[in-house]
Amino acid sequence: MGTRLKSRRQFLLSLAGVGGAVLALSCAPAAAPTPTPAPAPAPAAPKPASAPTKPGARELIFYTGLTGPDGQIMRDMVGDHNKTGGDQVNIEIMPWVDMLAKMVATMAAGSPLDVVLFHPVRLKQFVEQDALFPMMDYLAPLGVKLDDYLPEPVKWCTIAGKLYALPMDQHQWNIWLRTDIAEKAGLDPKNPPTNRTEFMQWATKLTTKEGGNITVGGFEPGYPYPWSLTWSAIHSNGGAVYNEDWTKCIINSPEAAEAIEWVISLYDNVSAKSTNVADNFVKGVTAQQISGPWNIPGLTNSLGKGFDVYLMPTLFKKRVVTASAHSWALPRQRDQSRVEATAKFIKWMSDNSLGWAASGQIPVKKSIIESDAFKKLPYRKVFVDSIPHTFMWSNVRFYSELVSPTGAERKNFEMIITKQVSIKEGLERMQREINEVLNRPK
Amino acid sequence: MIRPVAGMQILAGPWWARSRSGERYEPVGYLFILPYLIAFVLFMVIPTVAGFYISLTSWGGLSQGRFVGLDNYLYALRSDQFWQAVRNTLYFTVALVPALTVLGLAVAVFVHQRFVGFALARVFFYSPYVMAVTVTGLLWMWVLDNNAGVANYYLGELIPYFKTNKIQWLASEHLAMPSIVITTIWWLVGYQMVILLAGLQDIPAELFEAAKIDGASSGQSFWHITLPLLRPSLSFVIITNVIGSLRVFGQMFLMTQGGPAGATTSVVLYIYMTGFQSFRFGYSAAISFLLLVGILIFTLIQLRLLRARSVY
Repeated sequence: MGTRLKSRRQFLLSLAGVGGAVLALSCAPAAAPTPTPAPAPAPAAPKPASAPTKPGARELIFYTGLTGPDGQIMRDMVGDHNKTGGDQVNIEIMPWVDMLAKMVATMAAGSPLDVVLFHPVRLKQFVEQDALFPMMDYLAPLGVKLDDYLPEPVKWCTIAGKLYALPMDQHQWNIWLRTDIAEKAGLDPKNPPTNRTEFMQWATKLTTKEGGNITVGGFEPGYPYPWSLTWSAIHSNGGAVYNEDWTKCIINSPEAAEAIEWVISLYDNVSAKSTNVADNFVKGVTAQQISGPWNIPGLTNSLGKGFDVYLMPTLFKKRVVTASAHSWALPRQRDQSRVEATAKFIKWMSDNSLGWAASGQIPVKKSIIESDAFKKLPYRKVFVDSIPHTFMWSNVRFYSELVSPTGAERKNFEMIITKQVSIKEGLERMQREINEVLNRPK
Repeated sequence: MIRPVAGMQILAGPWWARSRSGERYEPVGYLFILPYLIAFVLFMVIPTVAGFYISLTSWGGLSQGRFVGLDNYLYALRSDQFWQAVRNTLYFTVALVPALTVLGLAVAVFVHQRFVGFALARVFFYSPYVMAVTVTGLLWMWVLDNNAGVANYYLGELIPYFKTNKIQWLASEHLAMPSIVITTIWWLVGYQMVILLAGLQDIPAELFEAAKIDGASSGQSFWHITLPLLRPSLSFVIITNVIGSLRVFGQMFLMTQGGPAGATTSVVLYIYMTGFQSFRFGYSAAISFLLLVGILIFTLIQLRLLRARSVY
């Protein structure tokens, strides 16, 4: 028979052909929708108690990376929203890096999340890929007016004239003090330093040395990547890391060199080069640290009244406080009704962001910051006072790449701090390498 | 050459169960491996082919990537960051594999002896290996913490100089990688011990008895009997350790995040960062294929060098 298979090879070929056909069929999309019974609902995660939902209410998916205690406060707020009886929001909390990867994966797969709360340092990455909706297209019809929001975070989230993320809070890096250590050193925590000279005097007095070695750091900037202090110092001295529109690195300047030289001097005089500053602050091995308002609930629990926070001193010519902001964004999706429903959720969360202040973060709605309820909250005044001095960090393309451990910004900076290269050489190289990355085609 | 006998023709069965050379085989066997084959194609072959295609594009995960040919490969080969990651990975491999093999062999020889508590000793050496890399990494982060870690504490107790001059185990660009190597040795030495112990137990005791009768010292027995007969186990240990070292990720990701100044960024960590943090999936895929080629070359060289000759 002409068609008969005569050898093992032919048999294997035919088997592979059948296997391939089965595989192709199993991978191919269905030719036409077939009416099928509705699938049984998958078991859902336990939800907070909620009012009866309206008929036709949707389940919206919300990702965030708030893995600390602030995550529980966000979860509670979402629960409060869900109790209003409208669309139900399912919050998924995971580490920031995992969250961003999962966000990209779900969007690429065509089943995107509905809303994300993140740091807009990566906003350009997403906007360049046309992955986010401009926010005001959906928020303006709901009556959201940006006049009620702090201008710096709003400007930060605006790209090419369009708002791509709505700020929820602003968190500034100020100076945290162990008041018990300060009092023992004869310092008055009620009158903290306001300039660099006073700051160094305080840090020196707060430093404990044994046999020439620092056992209690008078001030710990974080080692070996003290970015928040350094950017404050550089900008305070009239220098800058990037130009106004974040398209070019201009760090190689005498002002930046002077600021970095001062930061390095801290390691030689008042710092134990702590790599775990937050824990060491609680243990009392660190007397002062630079950090943000998210510490308020945790430190209140662990230290009671044994700590305080004060405004970043004027390190050089002007006071500059580095800041960031958690912000809402709307990933692109086809279902416009879901986007509109999500916009309503964002508005609700923004309007009720006084609840978010419980996490320590500072809401960006002026009406909330000016409310009596907010003013009564302890420690927040310092952060509100620092608003006029804030400098939002960062809005550069390829941010993730630049600040990765081998990235042009972080690697060169750490090489300067660890004295592998001179400040001059390090700054020259950092500027050149960052600009090579920034000039790379999309 | 063995010629087929008449009986074999009968056993060879029908045409579809017969190879060209005439020996019998059972096609039903292919049905048994079919589930694995489908999974292999779905989760290995297709992603690998897709990955290679992605490596030729500028795909960022969300927008349509442009076809860029070999640009990603050329960019990697010209990139200081890529070569730093390669150097770090080779440093880790060169520091780890010999130390791990020698220590694993020493421990295996030690626990191969029947002394009181030898079983407990085996458990003692093997137990770190049951921990996940996450647990190991976090544990050693605390052990090596320069302020509060037990390493610096006991070092200071032993040598007063280190009481006031604490070592920056993970924050120093010179010590971070050796610290990770030490962590990895502690974690993996028990596994090497098990493999090599199995090899040791396979060596016939008569060979050692004969050597003893002939007047060989224990050192000579080890050198001329143990090591040659352990060659297959040692080859396995060395090859798997080299491959594992070239793919190292977890320890660096957890303990140093690749720092300081990129001193502990391995190739796989670099792939992860470019892919899942910078969303340069095309470039990330290209580095993955460069790593694949590197591992293939290393493995072929090792197989040639360590090819087991028949010893007995």
